Amino acid sequence: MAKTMFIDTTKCMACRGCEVACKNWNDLEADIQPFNGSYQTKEDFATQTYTVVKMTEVVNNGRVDWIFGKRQCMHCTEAACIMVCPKNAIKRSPQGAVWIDHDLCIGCGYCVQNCPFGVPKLDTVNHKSTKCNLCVSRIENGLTPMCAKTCPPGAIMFGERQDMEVAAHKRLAVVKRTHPNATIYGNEEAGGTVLYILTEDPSVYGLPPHGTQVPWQVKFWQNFARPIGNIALGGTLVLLLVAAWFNYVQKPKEPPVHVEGGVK
Amino acid sequence: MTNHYIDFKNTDCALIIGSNAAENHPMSFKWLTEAREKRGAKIIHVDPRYTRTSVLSDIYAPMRSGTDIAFIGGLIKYAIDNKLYQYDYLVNYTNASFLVHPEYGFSDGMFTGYDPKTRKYDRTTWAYQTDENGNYKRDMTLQDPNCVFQIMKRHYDRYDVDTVCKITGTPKDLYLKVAEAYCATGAPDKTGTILYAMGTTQHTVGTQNVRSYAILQLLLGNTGLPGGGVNALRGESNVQGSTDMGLLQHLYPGYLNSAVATPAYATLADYHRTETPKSGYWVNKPKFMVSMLKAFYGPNATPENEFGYQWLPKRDPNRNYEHIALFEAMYEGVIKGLFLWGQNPVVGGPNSGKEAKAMENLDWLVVVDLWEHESAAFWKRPGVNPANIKTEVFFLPACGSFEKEGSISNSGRWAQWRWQAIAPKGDSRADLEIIHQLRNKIVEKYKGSTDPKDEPVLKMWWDYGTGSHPDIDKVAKEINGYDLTTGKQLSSFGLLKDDGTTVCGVWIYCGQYTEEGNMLKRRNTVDPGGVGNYLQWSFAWPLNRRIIYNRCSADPYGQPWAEDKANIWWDEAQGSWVGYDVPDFGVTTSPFSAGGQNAYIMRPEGVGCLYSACNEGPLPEHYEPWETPTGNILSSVNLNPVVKLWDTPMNDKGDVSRFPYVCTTYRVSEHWQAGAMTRNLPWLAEVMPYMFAEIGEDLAAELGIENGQKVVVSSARGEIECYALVTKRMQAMVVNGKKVHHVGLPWHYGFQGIATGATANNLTPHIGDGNTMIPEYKAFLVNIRGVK
Repeated sequence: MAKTMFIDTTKCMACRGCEVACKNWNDLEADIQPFNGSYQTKEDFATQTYTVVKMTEVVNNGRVDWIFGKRQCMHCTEAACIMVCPKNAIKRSPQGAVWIDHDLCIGCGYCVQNCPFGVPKLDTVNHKSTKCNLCVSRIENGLTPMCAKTCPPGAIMFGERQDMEVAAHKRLAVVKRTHPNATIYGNEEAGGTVLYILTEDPSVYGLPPHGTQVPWQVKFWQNFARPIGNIALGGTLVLLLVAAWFNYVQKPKEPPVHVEGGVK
Repeated sequence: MTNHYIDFKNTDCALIIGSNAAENHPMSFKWLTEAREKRGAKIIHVDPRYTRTSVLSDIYAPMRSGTDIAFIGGLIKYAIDNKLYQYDYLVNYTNASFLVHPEYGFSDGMFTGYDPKTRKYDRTTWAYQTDENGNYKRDMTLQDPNCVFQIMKRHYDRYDVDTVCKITGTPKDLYLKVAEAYCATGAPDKTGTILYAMGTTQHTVGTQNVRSYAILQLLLGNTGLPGGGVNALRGESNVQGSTDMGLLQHLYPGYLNSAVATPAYATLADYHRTETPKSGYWVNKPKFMVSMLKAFYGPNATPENEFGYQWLPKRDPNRNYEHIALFEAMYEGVIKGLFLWGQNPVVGGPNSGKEAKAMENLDWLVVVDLWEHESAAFWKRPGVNPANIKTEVFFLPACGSFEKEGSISNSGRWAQWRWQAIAPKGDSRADLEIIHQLRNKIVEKYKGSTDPKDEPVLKMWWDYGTGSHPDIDKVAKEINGYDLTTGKQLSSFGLLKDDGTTVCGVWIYCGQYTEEGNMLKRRNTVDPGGVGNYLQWSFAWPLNRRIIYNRCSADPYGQPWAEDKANIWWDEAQGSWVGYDVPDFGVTTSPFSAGGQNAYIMRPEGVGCLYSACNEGPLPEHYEPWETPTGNILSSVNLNPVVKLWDTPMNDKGDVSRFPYVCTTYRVSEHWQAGAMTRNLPWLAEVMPYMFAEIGEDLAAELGIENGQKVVVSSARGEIECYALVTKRMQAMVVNGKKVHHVGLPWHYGFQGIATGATANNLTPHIGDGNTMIPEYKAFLVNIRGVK
């Protein structure tokens, strides 16, 4: 059975233990960025950074609030990255982890261009695409991902998809008492992704709008171009070019970047 | 903590004040979150800054740094005026009914008995009234004008909401929200907990800040019950253990006062006479003291030589030995040698520029640490010429916690054993090993001496093995104590004797290592009643008790105030107290017998003290910080009248005309204390790499400072350069009709390590609390300007 992660942003205290635990398990190097005027010292994912806690200041009804949202790969049920990868280097584990096999990855960057959530980042030195792998080596062995394991207030939960959905709906009912606009994110998006409780618009967390799906041209590539391509290499080349063109003109808009203090 | 971390899950309302619990004690939120989820508990955060704790709170109320007593005083008045106090608790378990000396008085910020020459109070008029037999006089109706309740009511009558908000800068609507939510815990079936930390204590009125919380908790009947209490979130994993073990200058292990070189302490008999009260559990103090001396000096301690009492060093009554005083003495050239053992004053000390300068007067310095931190490298700090510093510096590399075995005591007094995970790197050694080897070397040097002044060294009892690696098991056993007659480990400090037949290193830890083994290693997770006490997990002092003063969890008749607040209760059939915790009371003392309601057994009066003498008075009174943006509007007395003033070089006082902003220092989740433990680790350096000054958008706009630009922050002691972090989360407050801005500075940074930055403590002053002299790190004045 597929498992998933459920991130309750209303419990997150942005201690960023998840960021450090992630680096620890995945053996990622520290990547010190220039001062950006924010507690959120890393603005986006990077080749050495698979998870980031977004910290955004908002004003609601005249009162300041600080919104936290732990972001990482969404491990989509309909994963654009898997669909577009020409080398089948991106795989889905039986537990639901979408992970990149670096032995096969050629660093073409298709997954980077096509992810609706802006997750994979290209390591241009080693020519590999990089992203959160849901700690696939841990979950294959019955352990929880490091970020969920380390989270002190239990804002990151991990379990059977069904159980997480039930937990999210239960929690939503509670959160709605204080945040009437709270929503669940990840039920419908990209065929179902990591689940979130959000109290603000998805853009505040750097997420694309509710209902975001894999672009049709990606599905087109997956369903038609590739099977045909397997028959005729020449046809593949043509279609590759067509797909590249679509990617170029239809590239999803970058989600708005919110920076603390309103100034970058 | 009176309670413990897991117990937060039992609360109905948590008041977090003087603490940034989510950032600095993240685990607290595991249990606070559970309280909110399962009980619908409210979380309140009162702080000058909107922090990660405020985010997770139901109510956030801003408060100017240094005005806790005004804030809490207002809540005390609110609870009294609206009769929200827990009446049965108040009458039976506190000194509300006790009559005070008729000449006790208070006017214009001063209690009776002050001597401006000595800056001390004579406490005669603060005493209780007693009858001819020495019994305390009480008025159980609480109507007598001299009873504590009426005195307290009069005292806080001046703390009305408008006056309070004028002092604290809290918007009135938010203040009332806090008052309503928190004072609702006065209901007998509700409990509220107060979480505090250094934001409370690091003020010239730090002790009285804590006292004000205690008063509020007693008034609302919140102490001694699950989900209640006064809970200090300790800032180091083992700082509770370190104070328990006697690391403070005025205490021996187990909170026994250390002796002073005065006639009152001339002999052991004098010590007992001076230190032992006539009633309460402390009447047993001589047993604890003699057993401790037996642990110090072993067979050398005999009844004939006062069990070695004369070998103990005595404090000079005219000298102070607190941190500030030690560095002042170093600055004067009085102290010539210094051991820094897990401490980094060049980053963490108050007025750290002066402290670094003071260290230049040392002949020698020994640093025991994991890293060569700023204090170890003080002789090559920026701006000094190493050739001019003659101090000889020794660096002893210490192990990290995973490289050694031992116990640590958490904030909730749980002492837990930690096993060694990996062998130490390089030539680093465990602290215990270092002290053991050092002791052996010193004794070797003194060997054969017949000089009486060398006796304290030569008579020391050190039975931890002969090799270079001490037997930690033996240390743990000695801390617990044993009976010399039977040779058996003791199970309770109730068995200690004052005749030299029992040995016990730290009486409050008696029971940690019994004949059944090392209790600190226990890891059983049974939890009867589901209250989270886990009595078979590790050991909590005293006597494995998880909630202290827990007689209060039962009503005067011995029954729980509410089913879900049950902790211990009286079982008439068994004739004993039973329940989910170790009773903090005579197990067979019936609630109906004499003293059956004296719930506070450590106190001579047997009850909790709303009214209790500290150096600056028996009730907390609001005074302004040493450096204040405003005058005291409650009285003409601005500063706590008993604090010691350090009128010394490099410690100038700043004035609001030159330094208009209130500055407060703090920690962030990402770093640890003075930073050596985290700024040297790439993954932690990465998540908070730079020193910054946090200011509000309003102040930034006034000064034309942009987010991310460099600024200079200055105080009367010095100036530092760092980045500006401009945020919506800090906003000006209106204090006494005037706009007051705060500047926030994390104090983690220094010039060594991977993440480096200016040291906030270059700006903080040498001034401390009136009782403990803990430095006033949390409220002082600064100016700030942008630099290109």
